[in-house]
Amino acid sequence: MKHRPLFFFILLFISSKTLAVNDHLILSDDAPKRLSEYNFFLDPIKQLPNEHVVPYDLITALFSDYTDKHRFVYVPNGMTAEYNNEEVFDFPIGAALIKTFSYQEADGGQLLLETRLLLHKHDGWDALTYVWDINRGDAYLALGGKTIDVRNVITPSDSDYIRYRAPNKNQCKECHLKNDAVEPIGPKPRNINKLFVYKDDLERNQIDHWTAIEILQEKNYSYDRMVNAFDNSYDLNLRARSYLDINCGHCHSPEGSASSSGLYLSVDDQDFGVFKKPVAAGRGSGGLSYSIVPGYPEQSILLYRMLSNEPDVMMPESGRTMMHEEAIELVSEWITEMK
Amino acid sequence: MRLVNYLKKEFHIILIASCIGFTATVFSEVIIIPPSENSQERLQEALILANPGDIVQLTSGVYSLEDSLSLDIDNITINGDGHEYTILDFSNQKSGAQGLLVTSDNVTLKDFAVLDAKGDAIKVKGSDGISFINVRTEWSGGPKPTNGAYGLYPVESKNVLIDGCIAIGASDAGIYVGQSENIIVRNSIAKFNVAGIEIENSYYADVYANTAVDNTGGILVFDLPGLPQQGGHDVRVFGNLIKDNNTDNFAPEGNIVGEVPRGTGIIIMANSNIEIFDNEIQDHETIGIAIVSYISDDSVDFSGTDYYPHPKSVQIHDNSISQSGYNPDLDKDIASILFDISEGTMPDIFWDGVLPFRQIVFGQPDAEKLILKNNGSINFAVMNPIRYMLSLPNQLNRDQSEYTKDIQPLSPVIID
Repeated sequence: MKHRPLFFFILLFISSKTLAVNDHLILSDDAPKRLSEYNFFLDPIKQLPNEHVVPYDLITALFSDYTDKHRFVYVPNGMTAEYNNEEVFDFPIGAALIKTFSYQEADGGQLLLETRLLLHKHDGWDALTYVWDINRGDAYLALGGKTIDVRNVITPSDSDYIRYRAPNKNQCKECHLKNDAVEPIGPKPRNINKLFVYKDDLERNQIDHWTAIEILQEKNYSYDRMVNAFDNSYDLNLRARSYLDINCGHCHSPEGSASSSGLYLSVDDQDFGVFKKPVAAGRGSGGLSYSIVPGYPEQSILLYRMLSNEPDVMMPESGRTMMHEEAIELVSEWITEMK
Repeated sequence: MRLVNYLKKEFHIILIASCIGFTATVFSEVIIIPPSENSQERLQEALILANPGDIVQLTSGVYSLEDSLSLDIDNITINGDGHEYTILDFSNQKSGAQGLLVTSDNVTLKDFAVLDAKGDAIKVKGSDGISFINVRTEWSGGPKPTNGAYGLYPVESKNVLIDGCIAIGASDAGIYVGQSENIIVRNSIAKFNVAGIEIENSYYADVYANTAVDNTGGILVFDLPGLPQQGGHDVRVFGNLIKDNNTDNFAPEGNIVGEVPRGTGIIIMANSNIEIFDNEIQDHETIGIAIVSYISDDSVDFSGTDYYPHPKSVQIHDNSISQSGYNPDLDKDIASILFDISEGTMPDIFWDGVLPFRQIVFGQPDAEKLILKNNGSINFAVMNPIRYMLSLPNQLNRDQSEYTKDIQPLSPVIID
């Protein structure tokens, strides 16, 4: 009886020691082979996060072949990210962004595909992906990317086979490159300023929550230009621009991978392709003369490239093998009503 | 004895020091990747795990690839056994907008071929120091609009060397250098592309000792509006064989090269400081050399932007030009207009004569005037755009005597 508190303390110490997120691995130059080594999850199969690993959601997401995405942010205990109103927050060294891609299986289960990590190391962000092997209960580092044959999953599209591509390390960079450095895309105020149901079943604004748990510096935020692209109660123009921002704007910006195209699609860009001629689009132009012809979606290259699944025609260049039908409808309606 | 010991000790130190020096400087690895069942993963992982200074060595054989490859590490050489023997075959490509993408500095691509990529064959973006040596890019089914757009495609790059390369079948340009600076394209062959060699929105380029045959247009020097880098200037095109570029234009519509008439040797559009000399330009059904402004069909006004749509300071000398314009491509505006106003007698060299309004009134500054010298007994014609628009007579002037100022040679390009 006398020894019990000490014994209990030791147990607690051991368990918390083994379970905490491995800060050392986040900073290490040698990426571990297995995802479980980071300890981001208490239960990785159920995507149940560890302490200090906070789930979040975006107002409108990048389309990735109708996968479900489980997003988490990890900020080492005692550190905070600095607030930026227009850009991604300045996360401290040692922070991690974690995103697991999955499908709903026809039999009710969840098929985990890959977990992508953005790790904020001393020399900048590093992008890695781990591909799931459910039989072994872990995900494994795939620097060269991996093709995953997916069958019997539920998506709004009719296809019974999906050639899912986990990106290689360089493909991660293609989207995440800003000037010469890898950068996160999602955690900007404009993308996360929304309500989220936390595990206590209480709904809170994500920015409020991040500030309350002190992973984000407190600031009055005022970003409301992004809306849920598929919520009809919002203005059509805002919906379409929000969709293009999160799906295209990271590459189609003066600092992004599509800088040389001269077509810029962030939500605040004033020129967004109206009567813009293609430059090096090749077959991607589809015989059309302009990115957007107001009133004429069928004459607009932007829509033409959303309507294709061919590698040299489709946009985005990587990350999808299916068409995003709801988005095609949205952009088509937007161009039709544009004057 | 003490001396011996002393020397021994010294020797050890020297030995250790030289070993350290050795590891630091010479320890670049040669990573050999032969073709295999999973060429895709093996090659891509090698390109990701390589360290600066390494050579990724490809062997003879066909690498069958389903996805694009990419390299983002500085100071890497990708080396093959020769473009006839080491083939990166993308005919079953399922994803990726190009065959190979390079985004790092000081990279050499040497002695291999990229075959039948779905989009561009080799794209290099934002690289400082990129060399293509004896590389071949080809679409094997002949000229088709379904072929990828560009063969060798450096863009937003600096210090670009293309030497001894071969580009065949691109539905836009075989060798395309865009928005770049300090460029040498030499000893290369471009055939059965829409544009053989195209230098676009670029500064300081030397294009020499190349062969451009059987394309739609041989060599294009273009500048387009609305891009991060524009105002192309200082391009020398010399000592090239430009011949029989009479393949029907097979570019997908909407692209600027789609407007190039079949049978064009050289087009200079909206650049400044251009020197075209010592070229052999033979057998072109539409025109030997055309010097034109960028004219937008929707009459966008460029005043207020920094884009200058007119060519200026163009020098054309010592070229041998023969057999042009005997079967012009009348489907293309530039050819049909010229055919009309020349009453069927097509010139070897044509300037559209379009100038900014100020210069129409006050004349062109001397330094910006076209120079034509020692091009043999060629036919030249310049259009009078105002007479053309007002349908007045004498829309074409064939007199060359105005254009015989002294040549001001441009400096050679030096790659850092």
